[in-house]
Amino acid sequence: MKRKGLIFWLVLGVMIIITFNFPSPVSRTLKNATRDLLAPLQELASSFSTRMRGAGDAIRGWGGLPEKNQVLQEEVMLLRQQLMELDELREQNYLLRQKLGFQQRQDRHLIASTVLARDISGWWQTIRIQHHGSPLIQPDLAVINEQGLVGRVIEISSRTADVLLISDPACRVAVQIGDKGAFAILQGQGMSWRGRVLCKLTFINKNIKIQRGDEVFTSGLGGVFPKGIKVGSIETVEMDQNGLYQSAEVQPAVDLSQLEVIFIVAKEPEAR
Amino acid sequence: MNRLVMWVSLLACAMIQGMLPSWQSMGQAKPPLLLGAVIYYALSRENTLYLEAAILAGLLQDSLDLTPHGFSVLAFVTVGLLVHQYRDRVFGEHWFTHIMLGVACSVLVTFILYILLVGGSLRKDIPFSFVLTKALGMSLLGIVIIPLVYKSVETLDHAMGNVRRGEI
Repeated sequence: MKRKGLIFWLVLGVMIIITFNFPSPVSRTLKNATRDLLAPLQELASSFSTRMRGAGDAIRGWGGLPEKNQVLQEEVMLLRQQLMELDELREQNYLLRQKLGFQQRQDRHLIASTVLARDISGWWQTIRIQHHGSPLIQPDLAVINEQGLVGRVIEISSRTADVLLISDPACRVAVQIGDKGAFAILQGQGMSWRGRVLCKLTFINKNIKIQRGDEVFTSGLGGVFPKGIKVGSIETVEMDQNGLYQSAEVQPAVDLSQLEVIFIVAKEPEAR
Repeated sequence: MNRLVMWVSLLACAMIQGMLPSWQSMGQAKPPLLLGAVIYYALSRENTLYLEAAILAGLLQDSLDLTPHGFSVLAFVTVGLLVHQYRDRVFGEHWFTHIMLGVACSVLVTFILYILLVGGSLRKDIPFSFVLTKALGMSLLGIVIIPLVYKSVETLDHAMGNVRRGEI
């Protein structure tokens, strides 16, 4: 009996040690297989939930509003993207005329996707989105919606992609504050006990005057997030303990708790 | 049939847990559905099925999360072993037991995962106050969720003829 108990504990211990030491490819395959297994069910449940909400709205006399809203959201997104590109083109044109140089611009386009699930344990700030095996979706692509920056793609399986939200402490974004020429690193701070999403800007030049309400955009430095995407606005500003830099709290432009449709900023293969 | 019900229950719990929103003001606490299933099997099964359930639940949670494999497995197996150890000393079928176990196990799982995540340098930036809030949130959700999951899996087991009513 004693021996049986010993064998039981040994087997259990070995099994736990094995799970802790899954080789990286095995772990990745297992994660991808599980996500792909549940993805169709989550797609069904997600579409059912959207229909139920739609039915609820129809009962309240707002029939068709979710569909119209989604179409409008996508239209606004495309128009903003075009506007952003036009602004960049105008700026580039100006620079080209002025300096007679040449600046190569990387084309990009948006891939729409819907949110399937959120982080299962609540230790991370992630969402799982669906994709249908598009080769353009890769890790480290920016994810946005019509309000601004959402996060970046971190893991992909054949049917889903995981997005790390900008509110997660592991997500860092190179940003610039309005047109003041101040560059900084934005880091997620999770949620406050009141449920408010917080992000923090660090290493802001102490000589540049920034104030509450200043808008924060991606700077394009670092290569992950394209330049000019709205991130949020400054809430509070304070001087670093050593008096060398300023730091600031930023309220994200996107309501990260209400994400349904998002857009992945895909990189076009470079034309030769 | 026992294993079929276990797999279906755990997959359903994992899917629903992933889709439900977290309680933002309570340390992003998520409804502990998988934990509920683990507690059900630890209270109601004699053989090693409860350990299989705990390991599978842990693997599912880790697979659907950014957490490396093994973290949730250890947490759920610990809970499974403890609940199974003391199941003869509690009224296993009573809803009050499920509520109390829901509170205790939610807190335990939260702290085990916190220790593993900080020990593994994966979440060094989490303040302890956040974890306390999360544990509180998880236990409050556990009060509601654990008895619900217990009743649902038990009903499924009865429907499939795995256990007769009153046998547990």
